[in-house]
Amino acid sequence: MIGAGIVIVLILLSLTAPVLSPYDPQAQDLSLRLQPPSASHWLGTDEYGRDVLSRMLYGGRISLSVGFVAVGISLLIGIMLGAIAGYFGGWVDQLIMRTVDVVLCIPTLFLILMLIVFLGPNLFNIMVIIGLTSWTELSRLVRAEFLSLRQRDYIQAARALGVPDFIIIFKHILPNALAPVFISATFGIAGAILLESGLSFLGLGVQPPTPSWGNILTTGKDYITQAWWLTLSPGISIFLTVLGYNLLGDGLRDVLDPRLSGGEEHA
Amino acid sequence: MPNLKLSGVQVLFRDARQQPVPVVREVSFETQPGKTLGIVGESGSGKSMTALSILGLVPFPGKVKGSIKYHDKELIGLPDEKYEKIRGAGISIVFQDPATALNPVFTIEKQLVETILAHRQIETREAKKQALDSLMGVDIPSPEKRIKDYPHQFSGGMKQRILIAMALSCDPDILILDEPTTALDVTVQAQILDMVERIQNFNKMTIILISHDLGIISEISDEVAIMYAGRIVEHGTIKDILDNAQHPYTRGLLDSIPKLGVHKAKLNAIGGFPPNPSELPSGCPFHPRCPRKIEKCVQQDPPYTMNKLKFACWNPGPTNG
Amino acid sequence: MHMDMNPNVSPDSIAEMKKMYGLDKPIPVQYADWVGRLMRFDFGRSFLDQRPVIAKIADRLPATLLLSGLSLFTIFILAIPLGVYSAMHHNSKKDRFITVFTFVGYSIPAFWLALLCMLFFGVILGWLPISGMRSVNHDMLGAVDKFWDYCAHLILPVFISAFGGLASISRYTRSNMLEVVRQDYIRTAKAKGLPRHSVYYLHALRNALLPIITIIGLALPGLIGGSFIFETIFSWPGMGRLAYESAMNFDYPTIMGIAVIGAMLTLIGNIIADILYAAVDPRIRL
Repeated sequence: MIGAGIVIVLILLSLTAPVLSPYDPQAQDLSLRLQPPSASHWLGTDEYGRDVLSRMLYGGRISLSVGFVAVGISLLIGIMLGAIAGYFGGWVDQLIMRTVDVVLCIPTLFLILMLIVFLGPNLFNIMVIIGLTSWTELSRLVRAEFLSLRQRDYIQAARALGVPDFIIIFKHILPNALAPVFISATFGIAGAILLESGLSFLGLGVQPPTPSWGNILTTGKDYITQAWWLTLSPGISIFLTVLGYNLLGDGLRDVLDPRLSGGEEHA
Repeated sequence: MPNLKLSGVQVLFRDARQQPVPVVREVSFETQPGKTLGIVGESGSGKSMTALSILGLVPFPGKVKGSIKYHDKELIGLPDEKYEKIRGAGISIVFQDPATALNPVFTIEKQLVETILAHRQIETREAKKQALDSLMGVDIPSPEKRIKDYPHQFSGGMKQRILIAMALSCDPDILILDEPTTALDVTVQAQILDMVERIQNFNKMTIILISHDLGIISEISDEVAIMYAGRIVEHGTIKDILDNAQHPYTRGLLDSIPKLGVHKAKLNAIGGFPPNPSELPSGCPFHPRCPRKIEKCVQQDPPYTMNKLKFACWNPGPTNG
Repeated sequence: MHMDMNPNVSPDSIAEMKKMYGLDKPIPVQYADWVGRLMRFDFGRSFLDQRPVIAKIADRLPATLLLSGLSLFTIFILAIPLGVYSAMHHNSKKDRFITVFTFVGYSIPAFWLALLCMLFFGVILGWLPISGMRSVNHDMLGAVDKFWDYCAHLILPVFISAFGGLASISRYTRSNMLEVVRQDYIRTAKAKGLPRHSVYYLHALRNALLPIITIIGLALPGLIGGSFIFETIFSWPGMGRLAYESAMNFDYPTIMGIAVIGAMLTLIGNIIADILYAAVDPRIRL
């Protein structure tokens, strides 16, 4: 699986960024402004003479943590609300699902923009905001799984025996509902990374001098005719990362949930 | 003169390990105008696949081997454009589940008219008239109104009548009915079979009736072929099969038909299950379930015995006792 | 409000400001007032230039609707044939090529693609304008040239904002098509002797398209939300760019107004999709 390969390499690269980075990502050297790639600076330097490779490696850590933390938050909210709605049904379900409808109605990016303006753009807020605005899909998914699993005989039996709801939800239903959640979360990481880089690119995400692929690309845009490497490295990195998670998600879907992938055709 | 002749037809699929799996094995029969051939078998016996092979509709990646001749014309390997001329016009089929066999987004009229226009060089107006006529032929009440309706507005029995009308709209000389009444109520079943028989008396078409129910088959068939594990195990006239069946499987099917007025504590079902085509037992595939099994049955698949009946059994006999 | 921190503002003027914005009333009353104003599209005045927010949005909305509408149109015109083609050649080399393309499509950061396209078509080749909605000399052009000027300015923004949707809708069409060709009524259509093209392009496609109509509704918030990224990059004078400018200037009333209008557009889109669905699926009656 190519997807898994890309993802593992990226995780390793960002974990070992401090060791691998040839320079301090913040260290400026104005005598080496906008140098093209060379033996000493593999990916060239930026407008302050900082080493782009080092900044890319540290930026990778940012992307990765945004992906994981944001999806973690959305998993937490999505699973909890979806489980409660699907398991208890009735007015609780109605209340939660109508809330989801309302949230879905507001274009996500405007919602994010609004929250960023209120809370201020920084790494922590970005992670939380992306997490807070991306749980709706997951909650619907979890709810649907719970609705169908709730009807199974073994769950009915557990309820009849007086097993507490809390235990039924977490021990008996949730583990069986995890496959689609897991798949969706993998795609979610791809989405979150893409979103963070987009926001940082527009100056609404991670703020310089902290390096992120998005804000390196902003610099790239400003110097696009003089320093192509500043546009190419972050762009390709974002692309490969997102592609990796998307491929991984697709592969997982084939393995975990065969009924979702196209089977044979009769033609 | 037979209008359809199958000789040594095989349908092969491949399993996960790319090993060939025969779903239909060495099927041979002929049909005559105005006669009805019944094909009986449990699900998975290959009877529906045999029907699909006649129409060239075996799903990918299945392969058909042997020979299927329609009026001396070989159908196997026929290119799609030529096959399309025969489907619906020469040989028609009605499938099992009328609920899903009609396209939900088109009116009945559209689906009837497109069939007629696919085979006849006539004006749309004339085709509409013929479509209406074909609905009248299958006893749809007030067809001139209902023809503008969509499939979901009809009951299951009515949908099956529409599908029969569609199958007959271009006067095919062979009509294949694949479990046509299985999804319907018993009373509707009888009405539909009566209607089909009436049409046959009128236009002398051949009917191939496929069913798991020997009771239904015996009502309208002239000849019966019994299929087991992809092969015809016994074949003869309806009278010979009912009175003089030689194969223990046929015997078992006959014994399992409940008879009116005969009280029994329990029906005589055949024990066990039909085999998976990818793991056929050695020798005669029926031997694990056979009450008349002898040693030879385990070693070798029996060839046909040509008698008044054609059958494949090492130890035939009129009873299973 | 941040004024509390500023020692140069007198308590009197703070009180006056609070009264002006209704901040002296109890919280529930403030909330009710606010909801009431939203209902009347009264989003207050922009902090930036004191113009009514609704007027600012009204200025910008047509440009956004034009861009989103054209993008949506482009997505469906290209994605559906692509998906159908891919399904018809299921598991062939062509299908795999299209699959690779769709994965690249929804993994490539659109803003980066936008940059590359601007560089390539705008700067290097000089074929297309890369920002704004019209050229500097627009007012001096004749009617036909004016039209072409608009078109030239639209190409890159429309293409870029359609790109992501293109990938996912074609993928979706493909899987729908593969699902539909397995249905019994397709087997019936083949058994009737219908020619191959009418089996697939009439019977199968018509059914495969039904769920795609719903997707139009679902794609809308993405397009409208995404407008803030693309309009910013291409300096497109639409609502998305207004949102960005307001965000950069902490112009809360404007952002609030845009979010509400965005939600409303999404709702309208969903309603239109529902009506369309009912119109093409005979099983549903309104």
